[in-house]
Amino acid sequence: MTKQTHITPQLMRIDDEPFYQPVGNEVDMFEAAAKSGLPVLLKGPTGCGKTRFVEHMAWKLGRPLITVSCHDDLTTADLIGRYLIIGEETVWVDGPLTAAVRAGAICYLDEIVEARKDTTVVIHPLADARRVLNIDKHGEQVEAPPEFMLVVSYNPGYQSVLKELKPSTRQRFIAFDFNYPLAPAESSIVATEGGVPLEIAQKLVKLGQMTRNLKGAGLDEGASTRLLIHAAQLIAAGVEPISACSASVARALSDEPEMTATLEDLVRAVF
Amino acid sequence: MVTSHTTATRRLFASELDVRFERTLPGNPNLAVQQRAVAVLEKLNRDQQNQILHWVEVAAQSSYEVAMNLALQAQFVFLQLDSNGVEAWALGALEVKDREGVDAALSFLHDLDSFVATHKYAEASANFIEVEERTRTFIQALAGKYIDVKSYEYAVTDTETLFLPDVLATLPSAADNRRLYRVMASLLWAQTHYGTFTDASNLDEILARYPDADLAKEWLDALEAARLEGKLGADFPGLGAEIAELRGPWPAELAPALARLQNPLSTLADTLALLDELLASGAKAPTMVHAVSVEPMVMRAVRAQKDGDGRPAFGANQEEFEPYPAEYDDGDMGGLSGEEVDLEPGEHPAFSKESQHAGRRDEAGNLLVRKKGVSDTPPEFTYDEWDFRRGSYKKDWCHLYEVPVTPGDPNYVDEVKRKYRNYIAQIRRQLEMIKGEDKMLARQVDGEELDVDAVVESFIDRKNGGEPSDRLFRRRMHNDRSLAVMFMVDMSGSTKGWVNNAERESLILLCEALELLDDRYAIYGFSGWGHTRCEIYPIKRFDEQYGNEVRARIAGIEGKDFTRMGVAVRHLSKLLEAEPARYHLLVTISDGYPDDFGDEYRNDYGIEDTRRALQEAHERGVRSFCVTIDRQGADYLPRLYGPARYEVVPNAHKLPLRMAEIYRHLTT
Repeated sequence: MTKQTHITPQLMRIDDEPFYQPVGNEVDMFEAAAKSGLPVLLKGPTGCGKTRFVEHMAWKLGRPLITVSCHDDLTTADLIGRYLIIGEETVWVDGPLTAAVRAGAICYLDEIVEARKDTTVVIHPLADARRVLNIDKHGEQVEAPPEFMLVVSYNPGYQSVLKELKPSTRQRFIAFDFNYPLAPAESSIVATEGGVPLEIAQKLVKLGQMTRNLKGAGLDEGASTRLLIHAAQLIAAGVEPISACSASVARALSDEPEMTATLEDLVRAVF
Repeated sequence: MVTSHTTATRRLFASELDVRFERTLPGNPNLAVQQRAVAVLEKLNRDQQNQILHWVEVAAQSSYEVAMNLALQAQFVFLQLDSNGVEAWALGALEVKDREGVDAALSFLHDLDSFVATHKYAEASANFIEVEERTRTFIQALAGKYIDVKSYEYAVTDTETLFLPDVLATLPSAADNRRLYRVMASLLWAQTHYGTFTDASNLDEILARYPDADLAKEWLDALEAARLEGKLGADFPGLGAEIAELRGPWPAELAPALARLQNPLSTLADTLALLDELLASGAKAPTMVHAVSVEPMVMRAVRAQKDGDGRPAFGANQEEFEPYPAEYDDGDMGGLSGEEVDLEPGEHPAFSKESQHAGRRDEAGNLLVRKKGVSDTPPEFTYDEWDFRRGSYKKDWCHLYEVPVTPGDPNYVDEVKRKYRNYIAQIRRQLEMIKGEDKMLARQVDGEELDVDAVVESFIDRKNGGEPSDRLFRRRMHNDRSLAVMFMVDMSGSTKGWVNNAERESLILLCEALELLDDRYAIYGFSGWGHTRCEIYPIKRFDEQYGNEVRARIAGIEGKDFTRMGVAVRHLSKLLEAEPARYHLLVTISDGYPDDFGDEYRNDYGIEDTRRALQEAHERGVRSFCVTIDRQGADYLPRLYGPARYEVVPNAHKLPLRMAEIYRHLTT
């Protein structure tokens, strides 16, 4: 048996408060879940603030945050870790999940349905009363400290039958429903994040809501808060509002000429 | 423009015109009218004569009266319209005739002034069909719910559908006329949104109280146009500016009222107060290019129907419909109307269902006898049906038969393929992308490249004294989707016409595209007549190839009887489940509401049973997606489809293009 070396990546802490405007009791709920060591599932459409919320909570709880964007080539090794060879030595390098467990961090698996089902299974023992991570490669069992927290997210709006969370996975989590905030809250978010006057933000939010009315009627998704913030940022940078919205909303949402034209009609109706 | 046969420039003389009329209208029953028409046409120049004769000929094919009146009006139309305008006018008359009958067409022909007012700039006209889809989407975004947009003689709403004119030629540029459509649609929606109908329940009575009710109505239209523009402008400044731009300056008559109407707090009460004042002053109502009609009567009619069972139009019809007992043991069809009701393409589905029943009434005698003969063949399958009132299943209630489809025209598929040539190429490219998403398989004994992870591991194993693996390569593998899809197609009578055609075209596009993928798919139609004769029509079974037989069967898909959906879902999801695949997907294509002969399956019962069937399938791992072609509001769909995802395709034309898109979304 040769000597084995471990490398565990250093985790960054979030020092500055990320802007997040609560829309309900999600902050209290998350804190309670963190206190009880419960894993959390965030459901909601793209760009509605899930990732920002997790960043905010990591800052609030003073824990490091590791975010993994899941994709269909993500393997168990990508999460847990793998051996590398350095010189004549084999070195074990912790993957993001292992690193988070060791450090008592928050591990955030974004868009978990995109990951392969066999990959998802490795989180099971972490996401129930056992709270352990099994590293089969060298027979290690890492017990999660009380600070470790598992957070996953997915967008239930995707229609694909191939992308659903298995019941055995989803039933380990307490679930929060995220949606776009109500108009006043969303306007203030867009104004703050986009750096535009509230009056402009309100118009952008009205536009956003109108596009969301078209979900399933030609659009797969309406404009997300993130898109509206993009439009606001362009406006703040001096772009004229109609062009800004046309680029960041109308053309971002659809490739179909007729639909893009209708979206531009909506932009003009608002401004 | 019809000028192709203008070779001679000399105008036709009366005797020549007589010959033309006799050729066009053989056995002319009214010589006096013909003489008058000839007298009118004699005064026109040759181009004008030819144009009118052409349209007389076309009109005569459906109505002699319309044809002759068209000729008689010719003396006036050329004074006010150019040849494009005349063509639009003649075409308009024929459309009105098709839609509302001869009397309506005659009054259209004689009310030349209203036509001229909206067709001033015929060469710059915008057509309803050009803007229909875009307007509908725009209004849906504004309203946050589905509101249909249809064409009609003039702009008016019953609060559920916005009606807009077939043609707008009010403004000198075509682009502006198209924008005018959007403006008028917005103002109609504004009537429904800013209290025109809700703030006073008795608008009809209020109007009727004035000595000149017509004038009062004209003023109401004008005042509400100004008030609603203020409301829209406050909420949608850009839209407000667009309305102002298109309408031009306010007419002087309205000037004194504007401040009050466009006050942010104005309500219908302000309009009514101003109406009093203005009518007392005897002022003439202004005409405006963008004016839309405020019609309380239409609104009242809709509201009355809605009160029936909370569902628009449907409930009211239902009350008139005397249901047969579900068992229909006796064939007593006495007292039923014998009039055949034809379904028009795109007709209001609620009415279609109704006419479907009505249509049964005349032929029901025969059909019932035939359909009653079910007992001589034992059912091939029986299924339980969910009775929500009892909270339990009716045991073996549905008798299901597999019935072969009569093959249709074998050339049909080629025609459709030609029609959608470009689109098929496009959707194939998109599906090839799915197919192209090959997987890299790790740890293979052989392959294109080294698997670095595996190499490292085997190196470590060797160093540690373990046995190194020989699986050191990565290999590109064709992506096995392991997907089985069942398409369940509504073949009920209400799909007759455009919906049926859209279904067939969609299936052809899907098959043409799906042949690229290895997904296993099947297509079955469903319809039926009561719970003892539920029918399933195999069009393509899972183990069949998409060949000439399947093509002929797709061509042979036709509207049959009723829509008992639950049993079809149960049967087809059972077939689907039996397919060896990892994912099972059921896609239903229907035109709305489940319904069956008699009263039993209508409304709640059918909805609950369908949802239950989808739920059962869901619990067994079959995922469902329901596509509804429905021009009516779709508020019952979440309840109907329960666990299934769904999409409403509001316009049958859109279905073929949308289906392939939906399929791509569902399976990637």
